[in-house]
Amino acid sequence: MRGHVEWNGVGEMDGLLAAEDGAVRSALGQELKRLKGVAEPAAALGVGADASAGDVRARFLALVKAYHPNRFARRPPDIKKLANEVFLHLRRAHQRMTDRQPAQLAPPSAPSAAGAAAGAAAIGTSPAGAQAAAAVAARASEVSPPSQPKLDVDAALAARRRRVRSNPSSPTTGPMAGPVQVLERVRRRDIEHKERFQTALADLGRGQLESARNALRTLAAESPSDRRFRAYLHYVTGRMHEAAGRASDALAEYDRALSFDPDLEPARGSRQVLGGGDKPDGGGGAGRRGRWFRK
Amino acid sequence: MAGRIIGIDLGTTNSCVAVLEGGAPVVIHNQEGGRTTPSMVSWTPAGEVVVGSASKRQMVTNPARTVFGVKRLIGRRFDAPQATRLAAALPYQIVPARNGDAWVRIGDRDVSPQEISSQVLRKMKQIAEDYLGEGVAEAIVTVPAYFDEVQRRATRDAGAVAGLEVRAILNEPTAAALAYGVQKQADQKLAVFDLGGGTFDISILRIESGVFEVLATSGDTDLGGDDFDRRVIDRLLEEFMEAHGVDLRSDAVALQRLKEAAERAKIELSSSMTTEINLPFLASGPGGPLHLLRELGRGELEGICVALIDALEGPCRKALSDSRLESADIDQVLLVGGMTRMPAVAAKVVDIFGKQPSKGVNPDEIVAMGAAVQSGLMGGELAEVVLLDVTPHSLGVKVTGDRMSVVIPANTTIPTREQKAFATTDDDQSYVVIEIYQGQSERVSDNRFLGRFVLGDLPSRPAGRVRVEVSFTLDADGLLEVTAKETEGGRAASVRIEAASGLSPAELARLSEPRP
Repeated sequence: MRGHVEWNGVGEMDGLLAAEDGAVRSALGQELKRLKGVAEPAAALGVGADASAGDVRARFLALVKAYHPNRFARRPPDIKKLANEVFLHLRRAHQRMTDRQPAQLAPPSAPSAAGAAAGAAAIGTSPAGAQAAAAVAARASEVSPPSQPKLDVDAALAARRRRVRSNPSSPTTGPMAGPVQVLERVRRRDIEHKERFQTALADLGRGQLESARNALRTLAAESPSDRRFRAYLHYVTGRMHEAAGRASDALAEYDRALSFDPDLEPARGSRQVLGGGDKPDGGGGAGRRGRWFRK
Repeated sequence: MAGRIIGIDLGTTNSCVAVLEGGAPVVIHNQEGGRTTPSMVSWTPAGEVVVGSASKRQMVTNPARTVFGVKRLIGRRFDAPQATRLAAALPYQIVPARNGDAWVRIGDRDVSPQEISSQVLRKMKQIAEDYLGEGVAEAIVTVPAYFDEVQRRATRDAGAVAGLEVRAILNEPTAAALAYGVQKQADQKLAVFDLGGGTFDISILRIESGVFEVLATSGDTDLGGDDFDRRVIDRLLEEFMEAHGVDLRSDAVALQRLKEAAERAKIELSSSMTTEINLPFLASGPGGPLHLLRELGRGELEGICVALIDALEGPCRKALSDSRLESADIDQVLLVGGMTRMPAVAAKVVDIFGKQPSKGVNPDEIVAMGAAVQSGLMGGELAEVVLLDVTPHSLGVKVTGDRMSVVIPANTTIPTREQKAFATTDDDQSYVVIEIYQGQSERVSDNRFLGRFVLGDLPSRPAGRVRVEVSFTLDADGLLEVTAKETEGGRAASVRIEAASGLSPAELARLSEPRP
């Protein structure tokens, strides 16, 4: 057993099955440290950023064979735990490279409207507080049916942003990234975002607000600088409030939507329907409206 | 490294033990020459414990002190509907233990299912030791894929009581796939249809370059060969009542004889079209002794059991849709468990998957062989194979309104770590109670309670303004660790959930001591 194990040396990990506990411990520790240091999933797996789906899968399977915790089942508990952590990092990297489904990328705080309700409605409290909690819950459900909870978009977004920041998909990190690859990746991501945005709009058109909102939330979190995503996110949230009969909440969301994109005609229109009048600083006129409709 | 790890299929009706020799799994014969051993334990009036074939032989004369099918009780509450239904049909007595679990009353003593299972495991350990000529201290024990954490934990404890360190609790269909796939070594998608004595599992796997990845699993822990037997027994009981006006339900010896006869008739009808049930002197009536003599046809058996056979389809469809596959995508169907020998069951499989199941697999032995293969993955003998299994049930947290907020959904590959954020419900709420449950129901009280802990000293904020992030880590052994963290101040608490199996550490220690 060598003292040093190459991060991409799956072949050398085979030797670990027979190695002394000490060598296994240090090899797994080094691998874990490496994985914690790389942000790019491709770098974590040790494939090129432009690797094909087949290559990514083959590489992942090889890593699974080397690092699966079952391999270390007869080792001391701390080694099993290390292997577990290594595996979790590899699995997350693999998921990030393969997962193209926005629903699964949705922030954990509110995977669905019902989830948000559950989150906000929340976990049991002190026995003394239980009654009060029940009362609060009852009040809440009087105001809003359980499927249309108070939507806390900003908290969810903030949480998502924090996660994105701590795990940046920023194109400048990762040893595999050359300038050409970076450009290529940015381009591909834009194309992919565009597709997902179109899907979200289609959902919106069909009245599937929930799924549109989930997709938009993911998009907004992945591209915080894209004001269009955030504008639409607030617009859809407003629509959900409106559907639940919470006119003032809806109005507030429409205003927020317009603050991100004053040209967002649907938000402006909905706002007027609700009697909110034209936004004083809106700057939306017939010309802009016309542009929206021409699209 | 240490000694050998044996693989044990701890079945409802029969158990089987295998070891890896030269990279290939070998099933070990018991002292009577059988490749499987009845999962039966009796206490003789003298207090002696008899296990396996010997127990089965004296079951008719000692029905109230002979326990079979205890796998259906392990890790169950006495008041669970499954236990209640079982209690009504068994010749031995089920009682509530102090902790609410279902135990078995033998004479004046209450025995836990863990202890009864440990007797079977001890027997299997001894069979392996006789064959290997050396002591065995470690085992891999298989359980139905659909077992929950409490049932798994209880099985692990049974191993500990038997003097075995259980290195892994392996899902039975996964084990079968391992044993099959290691022989074939081809990339394919596999459905494992496992209908045993007490449980039904269906798992869909993808085998690719030696990685066995479970895509989805489903099933019913309360559907198996015993239920087929019981339908036949019920029919016979009704007929006997009609013909003679005698109710045999309270007659333990008669019930035991009926059970044996029903099981034998069912097995015979897998190969022949008719069979005879002949039970002379089954009871005594006013006019003298009463006999039961009757012919049973295969068609009639299928008619009696049609609802059970139909119940097999739902879980199969669910597993297919959970794995996002059509039946046409499945390359091979494996039949596991003695009940799959019944032609009507095999026909149902063909009906669901549209193809003939694989031949050349022994449905009674393949699970134990798979457990032996898994021991090779751990010991390093089989470096080119690895297994990615899933968690069969959703794991989550109780939220207000008796609802379950799922953190790890069913059929997630393990090991895994998932997070979810929650908020307080009260103004200035000072602590939250995190209650962890497992199960598929949205109503949390229908699910299995696993554990709870408290996160205190929360900052004073209006309701909903304090956020708590809950993180679930499920490791490869299926052990769950839950951490809760308040996001603002960073207060954290965590707990390692060891689903209580109903035996305290003291009870376990006492049972584990070698008997005189």
